[in-house]
Formats: sequence, C-alpha cells, structure tokens
Amino acid sequence: MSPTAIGIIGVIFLVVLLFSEMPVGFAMALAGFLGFTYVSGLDAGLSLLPRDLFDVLSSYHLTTLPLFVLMGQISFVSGISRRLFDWANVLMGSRRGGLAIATVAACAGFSAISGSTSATAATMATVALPEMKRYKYDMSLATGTLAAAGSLGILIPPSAIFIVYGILTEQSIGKLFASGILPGLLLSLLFMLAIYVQVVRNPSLAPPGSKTTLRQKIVSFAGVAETLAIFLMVMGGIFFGIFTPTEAGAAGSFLCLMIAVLRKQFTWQGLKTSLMDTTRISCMVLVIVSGAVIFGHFMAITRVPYDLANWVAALPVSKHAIMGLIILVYLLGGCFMDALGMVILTIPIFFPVAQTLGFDPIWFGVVIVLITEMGVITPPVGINVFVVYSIAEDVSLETIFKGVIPMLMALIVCSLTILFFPQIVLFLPSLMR
Amino acid sequence: MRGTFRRVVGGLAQRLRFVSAVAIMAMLFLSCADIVLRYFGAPIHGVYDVVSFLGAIAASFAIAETSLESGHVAVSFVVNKLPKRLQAGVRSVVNFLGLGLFAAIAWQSFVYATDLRASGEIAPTVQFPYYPIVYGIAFAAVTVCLVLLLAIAENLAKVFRQ
Repeated sequence: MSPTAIGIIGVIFLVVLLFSEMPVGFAMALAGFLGFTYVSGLDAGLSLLPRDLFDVLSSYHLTTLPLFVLMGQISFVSGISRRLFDWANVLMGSRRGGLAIATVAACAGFSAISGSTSATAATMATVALPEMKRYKYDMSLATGTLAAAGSLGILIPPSAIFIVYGILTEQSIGKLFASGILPGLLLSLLFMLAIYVQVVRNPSLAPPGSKTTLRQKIVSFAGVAETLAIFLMVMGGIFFGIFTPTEAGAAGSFLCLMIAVLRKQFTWQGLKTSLMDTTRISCMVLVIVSGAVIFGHFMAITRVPYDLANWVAALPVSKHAIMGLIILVYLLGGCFMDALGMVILTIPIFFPVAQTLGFDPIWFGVVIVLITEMGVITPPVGINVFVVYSIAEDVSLETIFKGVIPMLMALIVCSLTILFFPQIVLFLPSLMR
Repeated sequence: MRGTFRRVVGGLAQRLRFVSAVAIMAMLFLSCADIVLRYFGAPIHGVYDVVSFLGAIAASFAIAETSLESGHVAVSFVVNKLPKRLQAGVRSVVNFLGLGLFAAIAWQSFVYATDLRASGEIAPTVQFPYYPIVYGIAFAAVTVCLVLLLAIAENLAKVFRQ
C-alpha cells in the first residue's frame, strides 16, 4: 500500500475515533501512533510516543499557555470585569443601545487580559446582563451581544489559539499576538456598528440608560487604568523584546494577583478556583497539542499534507477560492467540534496548503481565529451561546442564536476586510524586531 | 468494590492535580523573580529549563483529573443519539483503546526515562537530569490508565445491567 493511501486510511480512522466520543487529543495520538507504527515498524512507533510527549510537554514555548490562562482566571475572580463594564457604561450607557455597546467595549478590554472566549463571555455576562435586564433591553440583542463580543477573547491578545498555532506552525507567538490587535479593534467597532444599526431600525430594542456627569466619567477611568497598565506592560514587554511570552504571562498573572490583593478582592478560595481551572484548561489544550504532534509525525511520513498541498496548488482555480474552501471546511467542522480542537486537528493538514499557496502564516493564523470566533457562536456547538445561556436564566437558546445573527454579519465583514486588506493584520508584526 | 476503586483513583488524581497547580505557581514566581533579578544584573541561572520541567509536570499531572471530570474535548453528538446501552458499549470500547494508548505511553516513558538515566543526559544550564521528569510522565500515564479502567468498569456495568 502506498504511504498516501495509508495516510488517508489514518485520517478516516481518526474521524471514526472522533465520532465515537474519544477525546480529540487521545484520538489523534492513537491514530498517529498506529499509523506511524504501520509505516515505520513497532520499535519506531513505540519510541515516538514518549519522545513526542516529553518534547511537547517540556517545551518552554508551551509554558506560555498555563500562565496566560492563569492571568485570565485571576482577573475573572478579581472584579476587573466589573470595573471595566462600569467605565464603559458610564461613558456610553446613557445613549440608546449604549449598554450593549459598552458591553462590547468591556469585552474588548477584558480580552486584553484573557485569552479565552468562554471566560470573557461568562465574566461579562454576569456583570452586564443584569444591567441590560434592568433597562429593559431586548434579550436577544443583549445575549447575542455578549456571546459574540466574548469571542474577542481569542483575537485580542493574549490568545490561547495564537499560542497553540504559533507552536504547531513554528511562528513567533509575539508576532501573532501583535497581529490580533488591529483586527480585534476593527471587529469591536463592527460589533458596535451592528448594535447601532439594529437600534436605529428598532429603538425599542435598547432604551437609553441613566445620564452620567463628567466627574463620574473621569472617576470611572480608574477602573480601566489597571487593565490598560497590565496590557501595556505585557504586550509592550513582548513587542519590544523585553520579555519572552512566558515571562509576560507570569508578570501579567502576578500583576492581576497584586491588583486583587490591593483592591481587597483576593481570597484563597478565588486563587484555588483560578488554579484548578487553569490546570484543567491547560491540560485539555496541551493533550490535544501532544496528540496533534504525534499525528503530525504520522502525516509527515505519509506525505499526505504535502501531496494535498501540491494537488491543491495545481488546481486551475484562484488561491482565494481555495482559501474560501478551507474556510468553509472550518465553518462546517466548527459545527461539530470545539473550535480549538478543530484548529489543532486541521493545522497539520491545512497549514502546508496555505503555505504552498503563498499565504502569510501570521495572516492565516488570524483568519483561523476569526473563523473560530464564528464557530463559538453558531449552532449546534456554539460554546459561547451555551455559556451565556447558562448565566441568563429564562432566555431560550433560540433567542440567543437570533441575537447572534447580526454579530455574525459583523464577523463576516471583518473576515472579508482582512482577506482583501492583509496589511491590517501584518502592519504591527512588521514593526517588531 | 467499584466505589472504593473510584475513591482511590479520585484521591490519587486530585493529589496529582494539586502538584500540577503548585508547579504552575512555581513557574509564575520563578519567572517573575528572574525578570526582577535580571534587571539588577543577576538573572537566575537556567530558569528556562526549570520552567519547562515545571510545565511538563503541570500538564501531565492534570490529565487524570481532567479525564475523571470529562474535561477533555470530545465530539459527543453522534454517541448521544444512540440508545443508552449502546452508548455505554461504545464508551467501553473507546476507553479500552485509550487504556491501550496510555499503557503504551506509561511503559515507553518508563523505558525512555531508564535510558536517559543510564546515559546520564542532563539539562546543560541547570545540570539537572531529564529522567525524573520522564518518570513523572510515566507515573501520570499510569494514573490515567486507572481512570480509564474505572470508566470501562462503569460503562460495562451499564451495558450488562438487567
């Protein structure tokens, strides 16, 4: 049997394992191990397992992940989200739709210290939803905004997906972080625009909030200053080469911890919860990455990704049409699988294709993150929708999904914009050393 | 019998996760201390290697507890559509395959650690041997095997329930 045929059988076997509810990381490791063993022999297959596992788990670059997850988890329990929302609310809440627009701004702010979509959606939903209910906001608009704006967590750095993508494709995590800033701001503005358009068309969706004074506006800025300081220190440190991303995650976590202590919001229980969640989330991601590396080695010896890349590159269609197809695969796959799992699963196959077609690897990373953001708000496994659903009692899933549609349009517009203007993504990374 | 096994496995997995959490805190403080000391011209020697080792402990020691809590990403919608007894049957098979994988990981990590110990391979900056970390990964994999055994027993009980 040719190596390519073995590779294709390996992919089919992997899909069968995945649909049998085997954890994604385990399934990739098992399919990769068996395939590698079939091609290279039992001794080579057996020795691949501990070496790949040790190499991945003891990779210094991957230590970035738990530290940034911890930073997000500590900020989650330390009241930072409440102060961010209060600031945005004082600034914009008095206008029609202002509370929802403030929610987007607060989510963007929280995304600057959290790298997870569900943590951002959960933390902002607990803070913003009661306010929007109090001012009689349409629940579809309110919950749809929260689910979608929470997805900014993985685009605005730090971002768990950028860390994993950077390691799997050997790209600079610092450059990937920088590449997410401008698209993140663009997407925040588009989300705000989507809310504004809805409110202009139907003013009863979002009544105005209470008026605030200039003094209140100035005082509330203190609540956002700390987030800004953490973001500038963490990203500035990486941007100017002062820190490694791991050190930036450690320093950011330490600062969040200090803020919680100084604001008298530190509790041992809070720290324990943050640490336990961090171990669980980091382990979940690192197991998938380990599986992907083992599966990637199997794919590499069968040469399936390279054959596929060459075949696709030789197709008589434009490279943008092929990128459109890849995006479609991600969108469809995202309907059945957790977004991060989907990304890690497909990178060994799609990354060589994107490279052969001449797409910039950093740009491709941002495109994947944007598609992932769509995946977290579309049915049936739109994780952010379920997060908001679990917090917003008495709101149906249909209501939230309905509210997500205009935000999905904003995401599509953002994706198309960076598809045709890649400079938006590549400008900041190009300034880095 | 199964209740006792569950308690023992659960207790072991929880303790390992505690070690994982301690490793993450150690990574945090060590990295921060290095940033500050570097500023004063006295960086901690070999901190990157130590942080990497701690990272390996943090990740591997949390796998068992994450499995016990069903915290790993999996595609459930197909299996969830099957009759209950068949669901348990599929889960038994899948967990059995997982058990085979982690048994191989545990065995081979043990062999690899023993090789590293015999060859005296050490991290060049801190002069610390690699093998204890690999033994740690082997031990973590054994604990995952116990978790998967428990899952197999629980699912088989559902399959053969009258």
